[in-house]
Amino acid sequence: MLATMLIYIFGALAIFSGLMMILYRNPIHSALWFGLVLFSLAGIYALMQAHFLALIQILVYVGAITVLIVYVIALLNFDQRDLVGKVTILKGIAVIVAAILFIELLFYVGGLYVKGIAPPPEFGKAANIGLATLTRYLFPFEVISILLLVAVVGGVYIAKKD
Amino acid sequence: MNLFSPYIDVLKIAPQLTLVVFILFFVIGELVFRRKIVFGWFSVAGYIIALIFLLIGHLYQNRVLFSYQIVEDKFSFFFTIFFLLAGIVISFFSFDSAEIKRDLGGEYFALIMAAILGMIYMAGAVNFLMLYLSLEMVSLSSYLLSGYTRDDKYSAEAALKYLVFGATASGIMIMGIAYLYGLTGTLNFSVIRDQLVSGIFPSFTLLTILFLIFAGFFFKMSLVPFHMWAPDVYEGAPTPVAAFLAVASKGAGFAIALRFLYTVMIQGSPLSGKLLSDIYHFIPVNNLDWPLFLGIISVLTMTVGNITALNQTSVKRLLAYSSIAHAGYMLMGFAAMNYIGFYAVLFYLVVYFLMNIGAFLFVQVVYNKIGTDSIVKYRGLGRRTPFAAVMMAIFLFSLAGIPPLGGFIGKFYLFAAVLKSKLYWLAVIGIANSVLSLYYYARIAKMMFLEDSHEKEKVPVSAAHIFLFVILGFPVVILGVYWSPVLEFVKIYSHLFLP
Repeated sequence: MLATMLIYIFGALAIFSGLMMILYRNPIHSALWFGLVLFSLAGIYALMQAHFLALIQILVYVGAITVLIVYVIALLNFDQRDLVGKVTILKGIAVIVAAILFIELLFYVGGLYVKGIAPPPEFGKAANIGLATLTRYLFPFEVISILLLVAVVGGVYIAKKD
Repeated sequence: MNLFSPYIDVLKIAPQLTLVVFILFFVIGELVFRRKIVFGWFSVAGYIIALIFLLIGHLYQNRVLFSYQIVEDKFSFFFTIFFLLAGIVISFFSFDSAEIKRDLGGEYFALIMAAILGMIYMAGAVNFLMLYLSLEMVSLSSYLLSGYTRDDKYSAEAALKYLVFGATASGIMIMGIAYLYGLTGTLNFSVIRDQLVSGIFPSFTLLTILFLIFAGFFFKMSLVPFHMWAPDVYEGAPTPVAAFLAVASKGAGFAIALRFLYTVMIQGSPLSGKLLSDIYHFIPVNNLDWPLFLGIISVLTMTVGNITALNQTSVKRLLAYSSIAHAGYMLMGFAAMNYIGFYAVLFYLVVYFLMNIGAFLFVQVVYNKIGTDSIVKYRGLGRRTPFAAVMMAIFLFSLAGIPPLGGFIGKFYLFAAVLKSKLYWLAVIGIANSVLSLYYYARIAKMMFLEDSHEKEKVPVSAAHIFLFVILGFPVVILGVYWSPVLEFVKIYSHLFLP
């Protein structure tokens, strides 16, 4: 019962801070609100038995990504007056597309009630994740290592000076 | 399930492992070798060794590897060959490219090879996890490759634009995958298929998911409305990279869309059995009308591509719009929903591979000499470099679909598929578009041969490029008159295995 309530609380917090993130003019504030979004998602993960994922979410996203975003904003050092948005036709189209997507997703949620899938017991335990990563999902795990190698090589290449 | 099966399967992916070994070798070898061109030869050798391993291993047919992550069947075999050959051609292409000459090194060939590795996995993925990972591998390498000339402003712009579009598209796609996972509780294609066939999910929900997943596919295939990146990226990226993206990356998009739609989104699995008759008509799962949707997208894509191509001044941009239009033609095969449509797409990809890389190759040859791809500078090139210009004319007329060239046969089978399914509106619009496209292809040919310029200096073609012109150009001509071996080949290899 408490868990259900907490899920609603974290969900509301995620939506609220998400709104705040896009409504704030100051990018640093937006970045901090974004950190809160990620934090509330971590809370939801924890309540859905995915403890490992929740911890990783806090470590990587709240800890690293948000800080990185703040750094980038600080380093860019741009004029805030450039950020004042104008209403353009493209933005209008974007709003319409987003509205259509939202309505579609409402229907999707309607479809979900037909058949909900309950996660198997001990779904998100760290031990299970470790086992799955090294047996069943070993191959994708190894592919990720090549993906990261590509990212590292490319990052060094783009950043290096002649 | 045998917990150790992932370890045993390692030996069965020798071609892919070869590529991994070479990628690592390039990264380390960058420190050792002074002459950078040696990496080009190493990469050609790598692709050839992978091809040999592939042909040896091909004796064992139809197997699922790594606990339902990837599958090896005739379809993935076809595309593996497609991508490896693309790798060889692009390596030769890059040898004498003025744009990347200065930076040509181990990283460049490692990135191309990593992209090709990702594409091979894309063609074999039967699990959404693997699908997404391989797609990201291709995307990541492509972003880096399109920004490869670091001191060029346009190249940087291309890379950034590509990155932003790509991240958005894959974000939308992963949302769709997440919803599908929420609905079915699995990422495995065959389990998802079994659940969809049971028909307990409302159509609208499934269509929503399908549209979201299409975002990622459409982006790779450069279909409207996810096509906007293509012209800017092709224009800004170095020419070999543009050719690579236009052919191999697009091919990978088609591979994955074909596999997903024809294993998960149709009734039964007719393609895993023996050869079908030409008029075999696939039935979409749950009677979802995704063929009609793809037909509409096809019409939009080819019309937008062709109309915007009409008044381009840069040949690379023109080829970008033309490649968008060609993706639209190929999508007609999906909309037709019959067996001809399926293998016509594969056949068209083969022809498209030859003629599109060839057209980009000519752009490269001209760029090496005069440093621009502006269409007015193509005046009089017919005299300045007769051999390459004639080849370019062949590629252009083949792209326009003039008989007796390969492009015509490719289009012929696509239109045959559409007509068999009685989609007359689609056929009429497709033919109107083909006629329209002739205008801008012929304009380049007219500039080259019928107009004169005061520049008389010869445009040199390097040995590697002459070799490429020959191996790309002659098949285009031969396929126009004697195409049945290739047609039989794609028929046999349009075989999707789903356990």
